[in-house]
Amino acid sequence: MKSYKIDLQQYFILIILFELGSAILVGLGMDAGRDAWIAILFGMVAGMILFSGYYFLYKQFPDLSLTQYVQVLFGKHIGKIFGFCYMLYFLYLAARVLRDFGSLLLSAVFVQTPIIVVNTLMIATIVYVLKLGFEVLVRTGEIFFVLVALLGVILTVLVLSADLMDFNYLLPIFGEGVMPVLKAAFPVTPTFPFGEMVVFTMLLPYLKVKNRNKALKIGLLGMGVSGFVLSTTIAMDIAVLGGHVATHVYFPLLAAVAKINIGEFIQRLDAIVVFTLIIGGFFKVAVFLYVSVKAAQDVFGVKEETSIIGPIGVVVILSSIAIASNYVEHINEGLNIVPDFIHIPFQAVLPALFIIVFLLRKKKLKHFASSSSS
Amino acid sequence: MKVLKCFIPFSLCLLILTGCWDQNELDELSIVMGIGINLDNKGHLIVTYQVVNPTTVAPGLMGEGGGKQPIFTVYESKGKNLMEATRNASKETSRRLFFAHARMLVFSEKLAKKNIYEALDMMSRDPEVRSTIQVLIARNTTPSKILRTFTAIDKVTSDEVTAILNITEQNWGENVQQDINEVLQSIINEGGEPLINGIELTGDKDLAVTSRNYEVGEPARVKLSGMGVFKKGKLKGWLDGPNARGVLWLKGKIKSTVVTVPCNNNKKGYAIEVVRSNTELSASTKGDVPTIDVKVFPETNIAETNCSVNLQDPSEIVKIEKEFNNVIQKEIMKTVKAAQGYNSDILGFGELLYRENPKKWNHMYKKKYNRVFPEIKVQVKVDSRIRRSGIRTSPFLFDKKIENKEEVDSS
Amino acid sequence: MRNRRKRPVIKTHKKLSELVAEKKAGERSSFQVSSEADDYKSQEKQVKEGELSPSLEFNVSRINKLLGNPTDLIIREFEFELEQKVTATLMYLEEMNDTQLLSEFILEPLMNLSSEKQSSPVPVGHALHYIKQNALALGKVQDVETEEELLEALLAGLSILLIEGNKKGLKLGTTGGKMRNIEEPASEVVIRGPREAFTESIKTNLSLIRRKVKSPDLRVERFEVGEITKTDLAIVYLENIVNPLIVKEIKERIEQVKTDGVLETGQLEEFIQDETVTVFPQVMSTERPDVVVGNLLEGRVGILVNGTPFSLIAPAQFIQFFQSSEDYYMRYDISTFLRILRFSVFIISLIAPSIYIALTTFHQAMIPTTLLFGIAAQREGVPFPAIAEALVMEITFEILREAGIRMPRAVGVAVSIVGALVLGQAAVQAGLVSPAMVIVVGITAVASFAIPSFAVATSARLLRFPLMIISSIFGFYGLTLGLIVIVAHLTSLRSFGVPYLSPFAPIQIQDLKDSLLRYPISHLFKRPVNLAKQNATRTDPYQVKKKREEETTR
Repeated sequence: MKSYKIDLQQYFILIILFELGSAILVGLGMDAGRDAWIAILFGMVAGMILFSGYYFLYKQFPDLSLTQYVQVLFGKHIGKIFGFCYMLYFLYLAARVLRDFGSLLLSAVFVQTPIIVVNTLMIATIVYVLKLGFEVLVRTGEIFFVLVALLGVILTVLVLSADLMDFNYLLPIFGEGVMPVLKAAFPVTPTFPFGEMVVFTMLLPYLKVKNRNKALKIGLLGMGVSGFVLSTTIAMDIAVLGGHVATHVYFPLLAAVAKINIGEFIQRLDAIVVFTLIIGGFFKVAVFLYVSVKAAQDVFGVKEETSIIGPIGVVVILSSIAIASNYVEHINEGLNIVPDFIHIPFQAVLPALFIIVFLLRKKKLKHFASSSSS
Repeated sequence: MKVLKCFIPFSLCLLILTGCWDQNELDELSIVMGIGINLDNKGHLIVTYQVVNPTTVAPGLMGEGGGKQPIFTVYESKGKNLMEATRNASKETSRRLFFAHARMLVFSEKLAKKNIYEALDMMSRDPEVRSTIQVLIARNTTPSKILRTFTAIDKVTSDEVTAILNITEQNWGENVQQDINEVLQSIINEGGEPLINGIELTGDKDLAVTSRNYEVGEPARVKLSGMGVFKKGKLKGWLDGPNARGVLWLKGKIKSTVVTVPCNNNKKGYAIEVVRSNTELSASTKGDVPTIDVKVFPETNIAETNCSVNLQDPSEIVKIEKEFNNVIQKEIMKTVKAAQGYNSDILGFGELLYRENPKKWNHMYKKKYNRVFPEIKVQVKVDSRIRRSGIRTSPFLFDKKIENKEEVDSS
Repeated sequence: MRNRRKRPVIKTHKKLSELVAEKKAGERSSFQVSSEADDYKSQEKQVKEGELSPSLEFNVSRINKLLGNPTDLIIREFEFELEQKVTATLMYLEEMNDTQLLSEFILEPLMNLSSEKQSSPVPVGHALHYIKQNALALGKVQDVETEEELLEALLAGLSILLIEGNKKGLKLGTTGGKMRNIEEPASEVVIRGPREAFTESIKTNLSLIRRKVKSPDLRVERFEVGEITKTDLAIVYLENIVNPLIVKEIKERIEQVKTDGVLETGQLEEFIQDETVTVFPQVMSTERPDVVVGNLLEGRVGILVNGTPFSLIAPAQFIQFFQSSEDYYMRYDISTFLRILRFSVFIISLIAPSIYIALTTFHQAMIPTTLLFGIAAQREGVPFPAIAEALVMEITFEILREAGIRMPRAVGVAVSIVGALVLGQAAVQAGLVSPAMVIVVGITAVASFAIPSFAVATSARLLRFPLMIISSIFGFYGLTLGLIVIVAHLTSLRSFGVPYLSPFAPIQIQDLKDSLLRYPISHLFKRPVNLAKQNATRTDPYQVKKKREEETTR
């Protein structure tokens, strides 16, 4: 199980599923109003820069994950503290996405169901899949990727053929100037979902050796494709619903698809959207959870990853409930506090620090780096 | 395996714990098809729900349940706000009211004149109510009357009304489907105001609410009637007939309609069937008062002629096109005048100005739009094309030129 | 010749009395004969344990004793002439041998031997060799040296020829007896395609395969499984295509099978499959020789077991269960359509009731209004919640199906009448279930019959129930999570090391051309990647075509 390597195709699919996971359903960069789709593209570019940084670090330590190479960079003890912080970060992200997902599902479909039940069911599924191994998660991803892509194409065709779009809703571009768009874009959009590519610092070592030099190219391609899909989806939502409605509902996509009605027969296609929502949420939480398991494994020196998946899953369930008392608080944290005080340090500042430390200590580390890459 | 051992008892617990969170059997639901909102004298809301009795509507089960039971029933309840009224209704409903299939939302004129914002908020917030619900205003009657009316073809009034809306939008173009999303969006648009379809009751109004309504030869009917003009959430007046159609011309939403064009001195002239139409809007924001250029490109057929004209002569066709252009232009200008008279930007000009020049909009027009809007200059240019003239060439009137001309003229 | 059967019977009785006497004296060991009879004593010393003795009488009595004096063991003593008169015994199990073969090609030529015809006198010691060369007009003649070998051959349906004074015997391939003829397949019916099916005889089955593949690379390896039944088992593969690691794995697993007996490939399947806790079949079974050969050509391995017409094909992929041999015999367009249809049918039979439950109890908003009226009207007055209704109907249907299969054909009709009319119609009219539910169950049932593989249809049948329960608690949410679990489980499965869900996960673009889709044959020039590593390219139809065109233009 440990020796399982993913190939480029799987890596690409994993990125897309991970990036689109929950982002495609919730309104992204909605502060920019009808320019939200541009805000996403800005975020994407910024995210790509971050990813190049992660790739730089990966290239120096191609066999090590982030929590492993910090131990090389800073020595075992300080490194473990960093690793521990990252583990908490990943755990927090897992809990956060789970909470997002649970609340959204609750507000749309299961109004009276307790959130803990919804979340627990999700984690139970994830734990089951992860216990079968990372390989299984990746391959399951391949299946659902095809399925979701197919549904996406069908939905797009239906929206187009139902003649719902009014492109005037997208005009004027930069009506309020570039600043509001940039403001909406930074720091939220680069950090979610693009900056979350930081989890791939933990997963890149799983790439097959022959594919390593393409990791950057495919990674950026994956981010580009998902950025493009996100952007067009949001643009489509706005064109169907209008700038205001699209930015003021929890699921613009759900609202847009709900409007499809072709000949009183093809209508009420919400089920498809809910299905994609669940699949997306599943993969995102699963990746975060798996990455926190890997981090915990490195920090605490656990040999068998399967033995801690369950306990960590329980931690994620509980913290997903505990992180906020209501949804408004949760969203508010997500938009105002988390990007500045959590995402930016972990996605940009710390990796930058690692790069600097690496460059300073290059000579001392050189020996290690060369031996590890061989 | 260990996972299984852990989760089997757990899921069993879940099984037992889950009584009925969000589960509703179909026979525990009352399917609401239409919602009406009125205002009583104290300012409380009166909410009317039209609930369908599925056994009488479902195809194939006619013999079983039908006959004695009514097709639908109407509940009414009061409350300070909509939610309160909705829950209040549970005192008389035997099942949970289920709104996901509601097709129309009817406001009373009284409410519309006061304020429609709060009612719209609840309707768009509730996850159950779908955003495709059509919004209407009961004109010269109450929502409760509309919802109680028995209709002949589609058995449920709400179904009938949405079907009428669809048909008239396709064929006549004085009304356009307006779901709650579009209403909200038009409120939010820069300087924008909503335009909501009106509906009235014609015929014997007392008979309308009895099931005998569809047994008599001359039943009371629901009928679409004009579009309500709003200003800051309050109903200001109505656009009727060609005025209403002018809005659709401006917004480019005409799908098909029929326009009467005079010829020579015969007012009946031609009936021109519009097959499709395209509208282009552009604004120039030079100076204090913006100018808006409207270009309409209809494609038409000649459907009827009461004139003695050689339709095989291209120059005659050009003449008719010109006449037609004139008619449309006047129609649109009249609408613009009406809207400017109400000082309500139902035409989306504010949004257009914002698109053309966001900076100027924000700095100059936005604050004093009340004063700007009535002043906006509108230039309309119609460029129509007559493509065909049915399956006949020239009218037979043309062949017998002289005798018939007089007759036609005199009529 | 007609009354030859009588003599040996008498003979056996004689032996029986001797054996009884022996038993009275008590045995020292199972392989050593008691020392009661004097003339055996000297021989006993010469004869090693398990080996044959030169004494005919000794051997025959030994065998008779080991087999427990069976009444169907025929022991025919006769003489023939070499240098001198030689006594010989022919032994065989009645009904397992072809009596005509025995008399015409063994007894007759042997009894007709005369020393006059021989150029030089043949000593008794060389008798075996001589008659093998000159007298036995039979293909399969082999030496037998040990007692064990002899017994095995005898039980496998060969006949044994022992000659006085020789320490070896001969086993003769005279196997015969009554066997079922080659008939049309009962479970895998096709409209276009070969009409032959395997029979219970492994020999016939192997011959059916051999006849289709005239390649020298076809390998047939024989095994014996079952400690008691000693069932013949053969694996077949094409050596130039197959992945040797897979063959090795299969051989190892077969050798590890420790059981009393294997009567059907289904039992073997359970021993050699990768994962036990699963509802999905990991080995394919078929009774069609053309299916086996088609799979051999893709690099798979066939496993035949004597006594059953069902052979196994390993490794198996999930998608194979939706393919039919006919897909390759029909045009590619219709085959593709049918494959997609079959897969959809699988999905329908898996989740149709769950979707019905989820829609009617959770997501009424997603049903088109008119349809909702219809369903709601039907639900009116039904006393059970949708889940109970669905479970009752599904289980009723399963009962009917089981009853229908086990019943004699005549009664089967009655069962279906009772099932369809009495249970369906009456239940609806009594208002116990809604007609919509009956339709859903009906669709599910018909759908499950349209899946070509019974094994996979069974998986869908089993998984339907948990999915119904979870979607009655959590609606589409539960259903989707359930499907994720199923897919994850499927991806975690492997069949002899080959991912079960390939070519979908991991995606193998080339193999996708012959999965749910079937490209025209000319595009299928690659064998499955995981299976045929050493010889991945099929005979390229393009090149063949090109060659043909060149030749014609010249």
